[in-house]
Amino acid sequence: MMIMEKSSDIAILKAMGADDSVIERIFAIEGTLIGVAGIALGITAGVAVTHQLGWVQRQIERITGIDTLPASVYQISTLPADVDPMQVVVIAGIALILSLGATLLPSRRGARLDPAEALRYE
Amino acid sequence: MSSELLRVEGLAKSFPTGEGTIEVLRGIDLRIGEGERLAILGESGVGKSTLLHVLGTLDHPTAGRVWFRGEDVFEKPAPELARFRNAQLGFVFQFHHLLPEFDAIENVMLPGLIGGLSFAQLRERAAAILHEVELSHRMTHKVGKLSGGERQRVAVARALLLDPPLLLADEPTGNLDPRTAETVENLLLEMNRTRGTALVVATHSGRLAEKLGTAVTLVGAGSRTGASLAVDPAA
Repeated sequence: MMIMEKSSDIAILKAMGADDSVIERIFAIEGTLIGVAGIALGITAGVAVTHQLGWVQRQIERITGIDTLPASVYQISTLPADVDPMQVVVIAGIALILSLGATLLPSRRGARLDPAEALRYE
Repeated sequence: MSSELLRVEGLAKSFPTGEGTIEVLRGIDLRIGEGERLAILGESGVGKSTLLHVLGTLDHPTAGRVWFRGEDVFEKPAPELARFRNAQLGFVFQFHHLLPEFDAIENVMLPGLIGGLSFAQLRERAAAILHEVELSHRMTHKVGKLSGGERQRVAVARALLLDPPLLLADEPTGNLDPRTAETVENLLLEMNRTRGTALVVATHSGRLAEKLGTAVTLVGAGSRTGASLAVDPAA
């Protein structure tokens, strides 16, 4: 999507002398930064929600009027939650690898874009 | 006669389509000396932009050769061709094609950044050339805040940052009102005079062609017959 939107910018960069490796690096860095920002946001939100799970549960019960964990059904009244730093690191690592993988192919495609064709259809 | 900068011999360009091959250019021969000016005239769709793209090595010819200062440019491998574009050519397009995320001076600095020059040195050089095109007061303005004429002047400044010996302009005034167009035309001519930059300009504008002094016309509308160059009788 980003590559298609930026096709004329890629063509101009190539006209100014950027070779394929420069274009590939630009999009790989941009994609990685987006991935890293997403992972940071996800970890922050996940850890925050885990720490405040009791409060979240109470808000849901207050708004819906439903007892989410009725003592007559479950043997607990609150969800047990614990942040395992190792799990957070592993999940962040997997997410980073996936986002890098999702960035490389489009970056390579963007780098190979034919500048004359991109400019022709402007 | 000035020494040879660019020479084109027997250049042809065709594009394969689902219904066969469209021959856009055929048998183009051209010679441009250092610091010379040339207008390429012709109807829309005749192949002016295609010719500029090939001269600017953005597209490869189907046949023929292009020499720049005696070197066959299409003999160069891709990374070297990119370095050649960076150091030896400047491009100005009908639509300014500035990057909207950056301000005017950052856009002007781009060719230098691509060429690996130092940021501080480039900023100084970009500021100087923006002063030359009378945009010192707009240096830190984003592209979106500039008028059409100002954007095109920034595009000219960007094309000339590294002082290339050849500037290729594709309808540089085609998107501007007559008064702004005249400002940009005069700017191009001034840069040719003061810096000795050779100009090759594809244009519809008879006035601009007249100012440039030498004109050729692409004839034979972009069709299966292909366009070839003819000396403009008016030039």
